[in-house]
Amino acid sequence: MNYKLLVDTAMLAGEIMLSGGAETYRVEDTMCRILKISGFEKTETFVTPTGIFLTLGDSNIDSITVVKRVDNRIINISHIYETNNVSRKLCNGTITLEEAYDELKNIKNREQNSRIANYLCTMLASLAFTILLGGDWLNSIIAGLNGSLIVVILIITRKVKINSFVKNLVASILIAFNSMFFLYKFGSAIQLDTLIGGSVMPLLPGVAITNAIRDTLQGDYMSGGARAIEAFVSATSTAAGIGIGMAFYSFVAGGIAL
Amino acid sequence: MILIQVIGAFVAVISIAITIGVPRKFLGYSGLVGAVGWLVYLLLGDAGCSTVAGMFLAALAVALISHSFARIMKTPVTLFLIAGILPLVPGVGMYRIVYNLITNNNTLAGFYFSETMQIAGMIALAIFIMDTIFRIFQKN
Repeated sequence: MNYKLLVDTAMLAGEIMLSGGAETYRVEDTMCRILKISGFEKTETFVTPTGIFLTLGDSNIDSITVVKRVDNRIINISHIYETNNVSRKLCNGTITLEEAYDELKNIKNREQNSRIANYLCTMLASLAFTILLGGDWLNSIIAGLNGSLIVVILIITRKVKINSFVKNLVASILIAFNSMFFLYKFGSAIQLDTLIGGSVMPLLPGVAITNAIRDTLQGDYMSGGARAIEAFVSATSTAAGIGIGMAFYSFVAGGIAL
Repeated sequence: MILIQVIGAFVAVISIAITIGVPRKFLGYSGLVGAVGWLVYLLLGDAGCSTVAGMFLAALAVALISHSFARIMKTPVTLFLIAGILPLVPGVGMYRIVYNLITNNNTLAGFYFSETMQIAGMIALAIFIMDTIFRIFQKN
């Protein structure tokens, strides 16, 4: 068996899953399963949110240790799912190591689903979350408009590299400002809490929230804590943006009542 | 009215699922998880259940269905859980905290802050419980 390729396959699988947004224990588990194919006595993996360590060793070979820094993280759940399938097939013996490595390479290089679809879905999410919270058709349509403001910020931040906290802050300032504008125009027909609460939902870090909880339960306190902070800071910047936008609008509009 | 809100939840969860890249064949199930969770919350609210307790039971339902789907279809549970739990995350609570802070209603802001924190804790607790239960079954 080609141990070098085995290590590379395990590392590639781990890297795809971690940057796709998988929980720490799942990444460690998948990599360990792949390494166990070798039948060696020492198969260790250690995963943090920003890096992967891996060791494969036995008494009759020199042990192999690889470290990999993972920093570009584009959330993609289908990468987790497909990598999971490849590792399942590899461990069952239905595909060879070489085939598995090629499949993983394909998964890594595959195009994201189309940006247009993502943007449309972001708008639709804002609209639908407002309906979910009990907003009427007028509020929902304005929320869809707010969603398009998020899309504008997404397009800008794709060109200019800005961290996600500033992105959330600016997007929620725009949302609050726009909602206040319509409140001023339509008066009491606007339910401001439902409207703003629904519109900012696409900005909330669902992956960080879920993984923070599940990593902590698994005993991976380092990544659990890191992701909890990520979720908290992200929510705080959104909340701060809402406050800034509303205060700013009432200042511009000459101190209208909130 | 409840029906419209539940349909809203279904559409909202599917949209979020598409943006985080859930595979196409699981989108419907993902939406179903979110819709059922929200339906549970709304029905409990109608029956006079408090917000925090309602959120806890709804999160339990979401986690239960997500884990069941994951077992049946042999997929990672996060596929359904991440998008499905999102309607329960208190976005409106966040708005209310900020609104009361900038209108100098510190008492109300404190109330909503504690409520939002409780909801977040309840969601975490519900996921903890379901994870633990399903792990016990896995060992058998």
